[in-house]
Amino acid sequence: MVQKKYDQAFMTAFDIGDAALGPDLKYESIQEWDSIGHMGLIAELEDSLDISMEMDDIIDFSSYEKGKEIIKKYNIDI
Amino acid sequence: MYSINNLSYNKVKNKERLCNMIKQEISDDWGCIITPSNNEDIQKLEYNEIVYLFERYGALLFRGFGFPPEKITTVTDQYTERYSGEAQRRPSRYGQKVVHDVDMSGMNMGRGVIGGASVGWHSENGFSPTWPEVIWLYCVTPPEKGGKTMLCDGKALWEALSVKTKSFFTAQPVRYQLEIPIGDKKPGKGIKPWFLNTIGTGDCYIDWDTGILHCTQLRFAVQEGRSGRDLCFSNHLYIDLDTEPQIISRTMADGQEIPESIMEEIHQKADNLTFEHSWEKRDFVMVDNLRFLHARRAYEKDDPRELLLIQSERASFGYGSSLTRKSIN
Repeated sequence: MVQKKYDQAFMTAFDIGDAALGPDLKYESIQEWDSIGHMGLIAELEDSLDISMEMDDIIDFSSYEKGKEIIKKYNIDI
Repeated sequence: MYSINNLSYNKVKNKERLCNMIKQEISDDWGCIITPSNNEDIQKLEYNEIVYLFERYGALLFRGFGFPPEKITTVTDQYTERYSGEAQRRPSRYGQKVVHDVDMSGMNMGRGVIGGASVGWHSENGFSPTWPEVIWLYCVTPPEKGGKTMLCDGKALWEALSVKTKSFFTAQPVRYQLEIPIGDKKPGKGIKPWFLNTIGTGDCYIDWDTGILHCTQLRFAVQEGRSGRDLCFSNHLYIDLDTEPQIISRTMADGQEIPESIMEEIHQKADNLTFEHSWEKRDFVMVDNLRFLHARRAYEKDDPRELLLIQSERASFGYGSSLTRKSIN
């Protein structure tokens, strides 16, 4: 369930399909994931997972995989 | 003042045949017209030659290649590592996400410059945290009357300014207070402190209720040029704030206004260095946005003028990579 919400946040924020999700999806690896796209992604994740991320974590959130590690800090099992 | 329509090729300082194109300088120091020598495809031009000409001359006019607007990004992709994100969020044209209409580009962002009003000297998004290195302009339909695009070489302008004015701008950056629409609202989410990993950006937060990013941007009005040997006066000091709602205020970093006498000097010297470009159908222009200022002459509201804009936030080649510096043995 959490994995589905996590994936959906990326797909909604960047308007991409699930085929684009995975280890290759990183900040600036696609046009949509730029500084402004990052704002939308974090907002989607915070809303769907009901968390409020700290700024250091927002900045460290540099890839699809790295993000999974970061949200574990908020007691989210993924 | 130069004008391409009036430019006699006898006046051209240099006419040189490169790989599969003919190069003609507009002046000794900047500007270059590139025409095909034998109906070559623009995509077949030698990448390194174009990069060198761009870095050397700062503004390239590709004329006579005749490729349609649907093919623009097949050219710009070669010279672009990343397109401007802000621009991506505007309505796109000709099925290409990064291609936008020059004259209607402000509508989606709440800007005021719509229709045929003149637009003052500026570097495209010169106030923004993401400042495009290269801008591209493509002419779908030339204006019938007026509507010329003006260019001013910021390198020549800097050289022309008085020491008093130069000192004023080297001593401290300009401070732009900004409100940037991010294209999405989340009512009820409120204010979120934010950080942008760009030099000079501060006091940053997102108001999700309004979908606005608030920040300040400190940026010097003068930049190091691609050769590393020159400075270029390239900035956003001359756009009327009434026509650019993203800029809430514009002062020097210490809060002082720019003295009127300095603004007048800049304007006068920029006008003396103005190049007026008269558009022809399918003209394609590549501009060093960190070096050049550009502006627009007014045109009639119902004029058919249609220009397209592409913003490359980062070029695919290093800053100054084609310009040889003295080696150290």
